[in-house]
Amino acid sequence: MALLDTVLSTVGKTSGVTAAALLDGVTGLSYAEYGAPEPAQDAQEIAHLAVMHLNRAGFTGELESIVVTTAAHHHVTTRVDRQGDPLLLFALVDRDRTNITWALRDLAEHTDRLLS
Amino acid sequence: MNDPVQDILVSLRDRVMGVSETVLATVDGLVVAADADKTHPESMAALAAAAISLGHRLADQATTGTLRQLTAQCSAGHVIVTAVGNRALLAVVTDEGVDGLAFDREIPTVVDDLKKILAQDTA
Amino acid sequence: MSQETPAARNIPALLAALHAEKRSGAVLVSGTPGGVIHVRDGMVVGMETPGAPGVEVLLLKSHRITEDDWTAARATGTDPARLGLELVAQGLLGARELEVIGQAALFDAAFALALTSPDGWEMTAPRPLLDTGAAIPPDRLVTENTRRIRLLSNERGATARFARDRPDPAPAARDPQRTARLSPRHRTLLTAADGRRTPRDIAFTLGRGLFAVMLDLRDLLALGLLQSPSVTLAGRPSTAPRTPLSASTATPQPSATPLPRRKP
Repeated sequence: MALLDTVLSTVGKTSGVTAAALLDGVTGLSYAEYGAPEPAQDAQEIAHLAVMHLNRAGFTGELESIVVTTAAHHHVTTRVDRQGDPLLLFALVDRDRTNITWALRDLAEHTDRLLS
Repeated sequence: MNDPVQDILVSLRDRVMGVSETVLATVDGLVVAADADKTHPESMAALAAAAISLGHRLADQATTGTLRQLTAQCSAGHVIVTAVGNRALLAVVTDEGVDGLAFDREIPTVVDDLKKILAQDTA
Repeated sequence: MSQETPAARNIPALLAALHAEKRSGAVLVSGTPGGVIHVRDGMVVGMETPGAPGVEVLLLKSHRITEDDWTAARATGTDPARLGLELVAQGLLGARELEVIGQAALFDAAFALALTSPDGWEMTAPRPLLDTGAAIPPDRLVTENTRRIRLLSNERGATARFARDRPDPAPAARDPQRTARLSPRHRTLLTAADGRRTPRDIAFTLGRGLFAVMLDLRDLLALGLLQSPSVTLAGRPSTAPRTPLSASTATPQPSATPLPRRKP
């Protein structure tokens, strides 16, 4: 099993996470997946559009995370820092099993150690 | 109308992936034509002429026959100098990912075409 | 194990056949650009082509790994295939990061090769390859290429033309107020697009993927900061052996007849 698949299954053990994917922030290429993260590439496009619009509005910092909330889920997209084109960690979070603050905190812990 | 020599240099960049700059120079190091932006054609012409003349002597010294081409392989690209008849030479700057097969395929035709055009120079 | 090349009508069909038979080897593709596809137990583990930057270029040109560290890792006498792992062992690169870069380079090479039709291919014994841990089933390469081509233009021919284009900065690119509102990544790209470089050339210059560069170029074209290049060419001097000019031709003689004048 590839190293990236192993790390994604660890992300999958986070409470409330039902699916996850590690994506390229520019190309949307999925490097590794856990479960069935179908909305992942849409989430990357949303993140890309958000950054383009924020830049146009004069915002020059880096995007940290985007949360899209539907009736049952939070679609959480967080940036994974690295030199070069950014990576995104996408997670589908069950609203009934955790709250967004905990989920964001848990995912942030993963993103810090993801590339080592 | 475009100059045919210039067209040949530009088309080499189109036909071979990784070719970024070319300078056609006389053997005494003067620029004839250049398709260059980052390199200084005058300096490139002078250095390429000096390099190829050293190359001829190197080949002589090592008794390895006639010099065909001189390549400087660098960490971020290559400089390839080829003789164009006995009057001129062609210096090509490429990146490290240059399509070597396409380069080897195209360069004899390019040299031949350039030779024919330059042969018409009588004054 | 037979080293015979399975009959196939195109590269994806060939890779699918190699996958089904769990074969190992290298597929040499000839074309513009050509390339090498490395297959291990039916999985695609690497691809190299002049059409897209490989792992070495991605690491070095992006300054992720310095030239000195790279040379030092090579000097340890390690098998070139294990060079990436050597960088990981020295703590210069994360093992997962290497896998990300390996996968990115592989998919990018597959995209570059999919833009033109190959002249032909042949199967050989396995060839040396910088190991990154990437192993991709060939059908994923096909679906990803379809997604990429659709994202850029919906059609392979138009995407291939875009890949050969040499975009030039538009007048708006000189407006600091406009460029200040770009991400640092887009700003860097804008300085690399000089009207001479194709997306592939820019990718090699910056140590980024070809497809990533094309997507960002598309953003800049849409913002009106880039345009298609204009062609300006000049004549050339003669290469004929130089003879000293005689005095009579060196100084122009004043003409006997006066210059024509326009009459109202």
